[in-house]
Amino acid sequence: MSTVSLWSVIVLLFAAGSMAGAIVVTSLETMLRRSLRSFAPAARVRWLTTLVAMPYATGLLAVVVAFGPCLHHLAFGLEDGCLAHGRPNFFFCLRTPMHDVPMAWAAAGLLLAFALGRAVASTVRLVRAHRACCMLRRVGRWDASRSVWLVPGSVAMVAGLPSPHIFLGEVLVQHFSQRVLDAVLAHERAHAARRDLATKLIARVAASCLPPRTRAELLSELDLAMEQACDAIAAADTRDPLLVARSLLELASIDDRPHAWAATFASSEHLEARVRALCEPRWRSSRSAFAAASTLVTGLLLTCLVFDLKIHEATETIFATLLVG
Amino acid sequence: MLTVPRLGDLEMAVLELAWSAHVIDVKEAHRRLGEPRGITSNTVQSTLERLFRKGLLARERIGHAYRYSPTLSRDEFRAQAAAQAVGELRGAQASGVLAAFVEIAAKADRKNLDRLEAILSRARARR
Repeated sequence: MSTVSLWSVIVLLFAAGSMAGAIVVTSLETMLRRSLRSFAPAARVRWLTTLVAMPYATGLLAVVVAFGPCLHHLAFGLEDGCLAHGRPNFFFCLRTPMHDVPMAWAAAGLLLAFALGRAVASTVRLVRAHRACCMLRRVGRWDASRSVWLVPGSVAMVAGLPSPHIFLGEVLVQHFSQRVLDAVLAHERAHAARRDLATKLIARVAASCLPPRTRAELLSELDLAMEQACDAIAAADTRDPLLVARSLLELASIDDRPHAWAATFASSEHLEARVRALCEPRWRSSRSAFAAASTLVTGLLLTCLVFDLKIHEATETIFATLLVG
Repeated sequence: MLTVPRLGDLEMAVLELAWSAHVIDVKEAHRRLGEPRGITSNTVQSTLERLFRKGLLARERIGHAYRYSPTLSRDEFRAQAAAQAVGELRGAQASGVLAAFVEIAAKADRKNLDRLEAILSRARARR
């Protein structure tokens, strides 16, 4: 197989596997989100991150399974059976050459162009955000005692990658008690310590192949889980969950918030969920769900291992029919 | 409201000088900033010109030279630049580069807040 055709087939296999994963996640999304809501926030973050990464994981699995026998033959110097099955001149083989498959190049090229376009758009957004973060630090004052940047306004946030910075609005410092500020800062420090921004970024990249609505719902749920996880850490730090809830409500009632016109239902829904979780925490263990998911994944991997050759040949036949005709 | 442009280090330093001196000319700016940094008078002049074009300095011709003064106070500049940066970060929130204590776009809906206050009061009473 020519190198270009080989890579084109790998790209197409990865895309097909990812699409299959995306379909599974999309069809189960509503049910899974509901079930996960009862888990503790930190566990929920792990579950949701895994869920949004699932399409790419299935894409990778598709490539590995389809090329499994070839890798096995190549690794152990065995005679491969590429010429003994499938259509002539089309087989997933790393040794036996085959003719070029222009259809595979075209399809893989289109997919890569689409992915590149998305990546460029995301990079531009990241660069803009980085510049905005630099601007905020430039106009801010470093408060060494709190290890935060004091900036005009009423924000309390952590921003910046790879090293996140905490920004605290001067309005908050002037108007709120030290106890409220302690709760706010404990929450923001928890974000920095847990590397939530990096996780968010990875999740957003991983979720890029999901349909828009599913992606938005899952990422919103992930954001809520992260906020609740940091609320829980802040509550443990201050030893007063109700103080954290009170701080949330006090900050939410500030009038001079920029872009206050852009109210969204999701944000008020998150606020309510966070306050309720701090006032009436009712989480259940995710151990049984973890055991069920582990069994399912192990079963899937074993099936792939047992039927590796059959899957390999079936995939070859499907690709040959679609790409060569 | 003026859109605060992005500024380089030298532009920021010149602006700081303009805020502290109120009015500056090229000679003065070069003496206080250019000489210590080893940059020419022309560089300082073009920096002042750029800040003028960006709307951050006003200028007045006195004799052969221009005298520059800031159009915004330091506090006004900081407030506008911070609001702008937070707005841009909010726009990029979807990229996952920001986590705010309370969502920046969250509007304080009084009715909703009152309901949450009631939940908080009940929780406090149970303690």
